[in-house]
Amino acid sequence: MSLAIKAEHISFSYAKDGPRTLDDVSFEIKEGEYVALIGHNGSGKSTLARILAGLISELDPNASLTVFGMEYDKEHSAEIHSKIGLVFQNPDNQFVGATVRDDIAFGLENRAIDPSLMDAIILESAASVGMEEYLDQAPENLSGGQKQRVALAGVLALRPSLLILDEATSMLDPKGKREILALVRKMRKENPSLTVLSITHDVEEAVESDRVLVLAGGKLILEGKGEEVFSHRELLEENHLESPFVHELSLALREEGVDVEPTLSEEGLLEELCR
Amino acid sequence: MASLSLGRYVPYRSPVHFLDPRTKLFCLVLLIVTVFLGYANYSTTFLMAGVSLVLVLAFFLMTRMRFTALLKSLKSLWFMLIFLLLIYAIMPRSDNLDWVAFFIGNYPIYWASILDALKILVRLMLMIALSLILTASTKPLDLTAGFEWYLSPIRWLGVNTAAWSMVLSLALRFIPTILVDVERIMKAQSSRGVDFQRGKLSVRARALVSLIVPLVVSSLMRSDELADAMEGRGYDPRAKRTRYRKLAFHWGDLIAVLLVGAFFGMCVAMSVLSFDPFLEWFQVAVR
Repeated sequence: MSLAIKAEHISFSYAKDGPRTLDDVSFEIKEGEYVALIGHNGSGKSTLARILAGLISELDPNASLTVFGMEYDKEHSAEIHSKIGLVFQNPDNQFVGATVRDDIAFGLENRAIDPSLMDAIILESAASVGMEEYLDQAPENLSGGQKQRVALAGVLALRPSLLILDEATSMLDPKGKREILALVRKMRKENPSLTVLSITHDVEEAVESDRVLVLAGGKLILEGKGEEVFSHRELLEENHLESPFVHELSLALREEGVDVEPTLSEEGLLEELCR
Repeated sequence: MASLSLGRYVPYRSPVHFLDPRTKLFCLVLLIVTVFLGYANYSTTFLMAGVSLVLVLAFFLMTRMRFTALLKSLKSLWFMLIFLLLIYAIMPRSDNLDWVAFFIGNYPIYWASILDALKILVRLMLMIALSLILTASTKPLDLTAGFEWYLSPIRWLGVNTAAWSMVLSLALRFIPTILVDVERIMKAQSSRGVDFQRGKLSVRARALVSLIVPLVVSSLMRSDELADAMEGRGYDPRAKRTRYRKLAFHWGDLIAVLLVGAFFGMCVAMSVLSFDPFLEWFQVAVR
């Protein structure tokens, strides 16, 4: 399987000679993978997201970053941009259009898509996030979760190959959060080649991922399957991160002498218990 | 924040709503010029103001705007009226000197002063009402598209009109969001003991600073994130973009332009020729 992202020796500091926000970070993400990048506030994860999305282009000379086999240079950056969909944290600050319809159209306009085709695309992507009845609503009449769904629809309309969620659920209530995660799950089901990089400080979100990367102080400290990564409890605690609840519970049960393998998902734990 | 809902778009399907924003902008300019034309005498001026008022009221009924919205926006004009009356009363006059309304002490107040102040007030009222009708019947996005169309000639001078119209539409888009911020910050500061309503001017000014500083900071943060989001979605002000919303000029627009143009022409002719309908048509000499 080909690689969606190959990042090598990524270092970055906002001020010249200032502290390094990212320090020699290297990792790979395969096409179709769902990777969670977790880290405490200030760990550099949002900076990494901005670098991957091409919003920051001044990288260290040793660094190498390829997205879908293309280097970020003048020649390819437009093509890379067209493959990446970004959803940010604050629902209000990424709502560009005056209505839902106009907001979804914004990305299409930027890609210079024929306006006569737009209505069909807008309707389809709004329907896929369940917002087709709100097309003419202004953002101030929508809830945070609804606005985030519109942001997803705007991204979906552009048919990205890589979806980067930068704390996309952290300002939402539990219901909004669940809805967004369910939508991402649905999107991956419909398009198995969609690569998802979810950047979050909420470890519960990492449960659904194929792989977890842990960033702390600008360095990549852990990488691997969720069960594996979360077994390093002390290292995580040192970096102000917890294990997901179900994982903690399975470990606690083991300590009490119950024979279960550490697991992240509720279903997995149930199966272990019924075994 | 209800008082700030002024100038908001009122969704409705009226003939005025269906007009092209370019038509509406053009008609607005013509009508505002019409309102500010000077005529032969006071009676003609107020007659024409009356005609304009009837027109404005007709538009108002058509767009289904609430009259209370208009009245609210005109409330602040009271101050203006008093101010204008004062100015005109103090200013020495050379005309209509035999036409004294009353004396304050020995100082004569002329009818002409009062009528001049009223004239300006009526003009301002009409202008505000006309602008309100435009913003109530046109979506902000369409309005900016209309502006952009009128600005398009200066594109040849190297000005990026599309970028300017994007700035304008983003400003309009973020007004409600920033109003929510204002409310939130005011509540937060009130809960910390800042009083925005009472106190001496200096105290209230300081209270205002406690609102403005966080507001500017949060707006700058918003704009930073917005820029990232827009760039992430492929926005490049220099690149070629397509437009989802297309402006279309219909027959109705032509009729509207012709009607308003004819009215404008008639008023300009009356003004230039110092035409007095009371003398010519009604055969009466009123001053």
